[in-house]
Amino acid sequence: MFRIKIIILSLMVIYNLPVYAAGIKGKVVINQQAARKPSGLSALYKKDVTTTPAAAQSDPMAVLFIKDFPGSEQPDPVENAAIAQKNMTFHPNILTITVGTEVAFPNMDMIYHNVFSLSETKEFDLGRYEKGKSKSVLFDKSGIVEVFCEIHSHMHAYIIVVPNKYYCLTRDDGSFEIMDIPPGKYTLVAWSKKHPVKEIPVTVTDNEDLELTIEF
Amino acid sequence: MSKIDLSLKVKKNKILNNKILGISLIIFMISLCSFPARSQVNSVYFFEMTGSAGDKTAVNDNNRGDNPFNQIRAKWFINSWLTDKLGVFVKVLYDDGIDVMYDDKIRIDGAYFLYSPTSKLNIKAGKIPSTLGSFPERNYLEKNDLIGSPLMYQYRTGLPKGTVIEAQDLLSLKGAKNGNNIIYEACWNNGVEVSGNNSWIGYKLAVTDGSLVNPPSNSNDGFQFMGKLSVNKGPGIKAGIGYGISSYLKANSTNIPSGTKTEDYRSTSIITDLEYTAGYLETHAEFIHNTYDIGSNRDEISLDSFFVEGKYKIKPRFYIAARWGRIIFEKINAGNNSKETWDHNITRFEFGGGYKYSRKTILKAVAQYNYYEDDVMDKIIFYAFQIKTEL
Ligand SMILES: [Cu+2]
Repeated sequence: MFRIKIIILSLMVIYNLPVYAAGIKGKVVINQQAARKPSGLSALYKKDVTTTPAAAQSDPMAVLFIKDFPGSEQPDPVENAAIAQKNMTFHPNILTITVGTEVAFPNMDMIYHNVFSLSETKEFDLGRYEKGKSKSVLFDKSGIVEVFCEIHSHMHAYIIVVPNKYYCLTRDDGSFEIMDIPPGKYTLVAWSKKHPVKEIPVTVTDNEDLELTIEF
Repeated sequence: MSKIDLSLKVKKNKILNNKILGISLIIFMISLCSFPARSQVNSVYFFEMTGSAGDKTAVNDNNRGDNPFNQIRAKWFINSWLTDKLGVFVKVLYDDGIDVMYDDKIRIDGAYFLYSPTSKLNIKAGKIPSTLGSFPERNYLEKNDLIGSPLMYQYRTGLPKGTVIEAQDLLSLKGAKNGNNIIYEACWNNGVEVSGNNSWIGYKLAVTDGSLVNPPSNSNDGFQFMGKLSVNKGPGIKAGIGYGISSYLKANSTNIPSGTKTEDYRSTSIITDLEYTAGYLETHAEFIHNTYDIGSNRDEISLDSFFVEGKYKIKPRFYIAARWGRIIFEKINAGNNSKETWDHNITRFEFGGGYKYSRKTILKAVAQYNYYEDDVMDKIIFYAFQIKTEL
């Protein structure tokens, strides 16, 4: 019986068929969700930015991905990835993309914005452009990118650039799962807004899902 | 005797300042206590460290000894929305370069309430920022891309603040640099401002004490009236025009002709501003025409001043900027059928660049050149480097 299983698996590898493997499941728990605090002088003079903007309510609690998956296979880029500037807020507030994805930044407000990032992963400054226009940035390196508006210091978004297809966003209840991971030892990265990034060593086997509870 | 007088005046001013500081803090604390459920106090701090080389930077001194080129400066902005329509705002300045003989190193620059039921109606009351021009707003939001101020917002002419002087005598005070300002930005007046805007037009109307040409004139019984209209053309073009009139002499000014009050001596300002921004470019220009009543006949003398300024971002972290400004004084009778400007015309050119070390920390390097026409000390050139960080 064991021999048959090995033969079937070998055939699947030879013919490039997907190898079934187990995954990582679990739940993200955030003990004290940090309140969105406005920052900067322009925020100080805006009475409506001290509360959580509506856009943030649909944000995932966390984004999880495998950091060090071996091999050089490039994941498919995310299609139509965009962060719009609307009502002086970035929509969405958190965007998860695979490396190699181009993200558009359309301005949907009557006023100017000036989208920029000084993050190590990607440094860019799009300058000012009017309503209806858009500029795009190619994210060619994985990591966390913090995006701001130079004119309105309270505008703040995050782009999580993941290096491979083994990633997921938490569901509304905080549960998550990354399935079909080939067995091996990896580092699972868990990112949640306003918290330090967590790196968790994991061992994925081919017969049992790994169950994790990640607390921020 | 005059020395004693001076120290007494300084002391009186300090007491007044402390009183304003104390009252403002009390108002702030009471406000917070009266609205405990909603109040959340927010703070932003700015810290500046500046080094300079070359001729003295004193040409940039503000009236109370503060100077954007002084070595250590800190600003503290505090606000709280007491209800969703009513907020209280305080700005505190610390400047290590202020001579304690003349003023405190720490002071409250502004403290006011803002009642804002809609964008078409905002009411500010208290010690409020300048209604006229556009540089004060940028500087208040810490968006000065260089280090110094435009001449028209900082320069002190030779026209005395506390005495009535005849035109001819004014010529002997050319270059004194301790008299009335043009449109002073570093010290705010107490009063009320009503403003509003929609997507293309905005207005501001204000009544305050004192004068934008001489803040210590808040000791007189006069009022300052100011109005401004601004227009936006698309997102990138803004233009504004404003007018102000005030009684600009300090209370108890000397040489007031009999039958005349201190408050009868008026100054007027007409000021226009223009802003154009697009892509990586930001440009600003402002022009002002001021008049001052002087002499026993209250004749008007005038000056014109302007500046143009540009900034261009070369890289996400790096920009270059330059500002060129001038003051042109009116020519008055100098006797012998000749005419002379009532102070030295002056040109200031400041240029440099900034490097964003992080989003909240910037390194600036500038060179500033000041040129006085027909003055002994006709050229002042210096270089400065600043680290500015927001905490
Ligand atoms: Cu913006």
